Amino acid sequence: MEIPLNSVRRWLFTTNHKDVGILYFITSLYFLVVGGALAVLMRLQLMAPGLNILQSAPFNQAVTVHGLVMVLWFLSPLAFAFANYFVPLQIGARDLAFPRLNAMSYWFYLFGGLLAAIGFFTPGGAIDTGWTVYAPLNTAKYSPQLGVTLGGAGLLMLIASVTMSTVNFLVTIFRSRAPGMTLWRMPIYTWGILLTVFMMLFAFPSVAAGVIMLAADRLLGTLYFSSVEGGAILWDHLFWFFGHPEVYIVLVPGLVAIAEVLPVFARKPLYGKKILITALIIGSIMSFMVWAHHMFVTGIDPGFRKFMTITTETISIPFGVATLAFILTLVGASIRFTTPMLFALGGVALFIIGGITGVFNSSVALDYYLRGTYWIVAHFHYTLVGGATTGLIAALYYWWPKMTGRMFNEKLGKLHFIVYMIGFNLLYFPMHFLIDMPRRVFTYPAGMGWELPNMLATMGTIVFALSWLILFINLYQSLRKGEPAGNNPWGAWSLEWLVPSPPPRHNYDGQPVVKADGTITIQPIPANGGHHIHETHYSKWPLFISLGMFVTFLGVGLGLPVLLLGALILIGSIVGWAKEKFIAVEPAEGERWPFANVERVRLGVWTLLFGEVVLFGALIGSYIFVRINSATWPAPGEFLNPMEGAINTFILVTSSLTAILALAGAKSGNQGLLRGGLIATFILGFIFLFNKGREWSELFSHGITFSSGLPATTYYITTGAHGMHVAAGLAVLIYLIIHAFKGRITKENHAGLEGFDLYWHFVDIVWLFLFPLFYLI
Amino acid sequence: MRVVHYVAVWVGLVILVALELVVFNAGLPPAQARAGIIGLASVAALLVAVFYQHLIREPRGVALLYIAGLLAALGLIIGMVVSLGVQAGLGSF
Repeated sequence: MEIPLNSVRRWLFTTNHKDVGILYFITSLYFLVVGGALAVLMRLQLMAPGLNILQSAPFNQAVTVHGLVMVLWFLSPLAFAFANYFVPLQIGARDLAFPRLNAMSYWFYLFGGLLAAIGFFTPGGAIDTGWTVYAPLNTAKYSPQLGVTLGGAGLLMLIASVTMSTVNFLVTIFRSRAPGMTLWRMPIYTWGILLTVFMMLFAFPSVAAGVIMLAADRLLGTLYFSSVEGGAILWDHLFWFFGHPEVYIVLVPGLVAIAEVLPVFARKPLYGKKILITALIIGSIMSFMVWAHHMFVTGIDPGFRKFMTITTETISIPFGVATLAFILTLVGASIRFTTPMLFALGGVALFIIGGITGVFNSSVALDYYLRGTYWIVAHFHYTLVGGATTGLIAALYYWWPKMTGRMFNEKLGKLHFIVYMIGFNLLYFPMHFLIDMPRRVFTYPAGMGWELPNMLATMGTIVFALSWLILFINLYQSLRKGEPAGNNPWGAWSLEWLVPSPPPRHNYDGQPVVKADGTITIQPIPANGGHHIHETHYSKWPLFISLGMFVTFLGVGLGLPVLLLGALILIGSIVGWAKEKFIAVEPAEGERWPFANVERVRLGVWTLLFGEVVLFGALIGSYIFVRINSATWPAPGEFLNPMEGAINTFILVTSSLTAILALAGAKSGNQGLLRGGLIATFILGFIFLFNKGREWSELFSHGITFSSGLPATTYYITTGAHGMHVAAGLAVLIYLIIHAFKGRITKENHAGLEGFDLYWHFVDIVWLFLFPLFYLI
Repeated sequence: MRVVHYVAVWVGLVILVALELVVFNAGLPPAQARAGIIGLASVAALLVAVFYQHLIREPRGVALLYIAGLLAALGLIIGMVVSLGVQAGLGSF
């Protein structure tokens, strides 16, 4: 499909990483305006005691949507706008490893945001539970409105988007680096994105499991979060195991953006790059060891709180090292105070304040006092806005000339910086003095000493909002009449500055090669790898699949006809995707350590499975949690028949054998073994599902439903999630069987089958644990 | 790997699952029975990962990331259980 570059269809169907980056860029700024407008409304309401600009319900909706939108639909997506655009350029690649998946990731993100926002127009309004969606407030009993269900559906689409991005970036960074671009030589922004996607890979499945359970509670009547044995603490674990790494998922791209900008305008290399990377690796790992500091006041075990206090205090060390690296980069430097540099410096200063105030919160004793107050609001806005957002604005000004080919107005940029810093500090610094004001109230009485800080904060909000207006005016003027930027307006030295601004669709007219001394050359491409190869840059199916998913989720709230329509669009689009001939060229040569021998699709499936381990870990963990927390539990054999479970285990284990034999057949060119193996796997998988269906049906006929207690709840949802994986595998198997019988799976071409095999064996492994946990123990 | 090796692994898996049933019906003390059954399930899962997912032939990085995922999942599960406090014990486990 060829589409003119100036057409709307280009933006609907594009799969090119730079186009997708621009889509992310524009959409994230749109969500910034939405979240910012809600913040202005909230601050106007809190400007003085007893105002009635927003009543309690709209205020709660504004707080919730502001938090969700700013963290999940603005900040991370803005970082990934730059990641989409610049990571392939920085590593010398032509595109991301899976361009269609990248486009679909964007559309899932957009439609997920729309799903959450549609709630405003439904009876009862949008999701109003706070961005943490705490239990049991999130259950149908306390929040029955459709807006909460739609918010959850929006979150699920976002999680799917994030998962696709994670797979794509990891495979791209590990498989598509130019010759000589070793991991240590990668630019710091790409390093930060690599660490960020690793954190995303292991953090998001936990909240995915939580949202799946919540959906089951709200739609099927299961009891995870409405029961005492699960309830608030269970949700807290699942949410914060994601939520705290999410802080670093948002923060790290901002910090590495600062690290990218500082050396260029300090005119000297980044100080201690390897130490900084090591510190960020340690910080990323530790981000998974601090989640329960959000639960200090919930009554969890005191010993566990002590452990979390120590890890939380310790995590400040690697980020302190990062800050020192920034400062030492500036020592003795000949600094150019351009707009990107000013924002980078501002980001460092604000992050230091946010970091220091965070250390206090790691103390259990202090947290009892500070928790739920405006001190916390000040702290996390200094880190996530002051550190992360300011860093990303530095990146925006830094890379804008490369993305558009035009310079911005430097004077307006500096004015933006001044107004931004005044507005930001006027908005958030007074909140440090509201140390006794609860943060989740829509109004407050006079005479508490809270009037002045609140008035200042609201004034700061107006100034801060004005600063963004200056940015938008500057960008608009730049697009209309900005000076041509040239290839390298800043005198920077990473790969993206070697190509024209904006870069051509295929990125490089040759093969970038990085030499040991850091110099980069563009060498002529061998005949079989040139850009004359017809890479595909457009596909309509990512948009249509996302639309299908969007309508399906809408149907959950609006009724069966809409749901069926969504399912129809979805299935039709998936078939269209499978039949489409889409060519994504992988570089013929390059740096691929440590996955040189792991083919692209296989590495993608492996990556997906690493996240799936955490998803099922969270589901199994929830089962163990509620079981330990329950006074009674049915004895083994009392509720489920062990022999039936064992028979199904034998069936699934045997299907793993037939699947591996099919792969062996493909590798050896034995078409009979291939086809027979695939058909046998399908039949065995189908029998497994049939048996599960029969088991469920029998339980239902005995009155054991989703709501019949936590044993039933955990059994149905955990094995149901596993069953959905089996069903998805069967759908892929149908596609593979058709391909096998058309002779398209051969000795040379069996990557898809290999990926399926990995997935199917993983599904088998999960069942090997579910069987004993639910039937024998 | 040859077909016969895959079949041998399958035989091993069937034996391990059967052994889980044997332990389940052996009348062992609950703690021992649970440990035995989970141990057997873990060995079976390891067999599938090593020989069917070909972890044995993959670069070390793949195994390390698999382990990282497992550690993340185990960390979450252990954290959830520990947060309930020592007095909760292992309840019905």
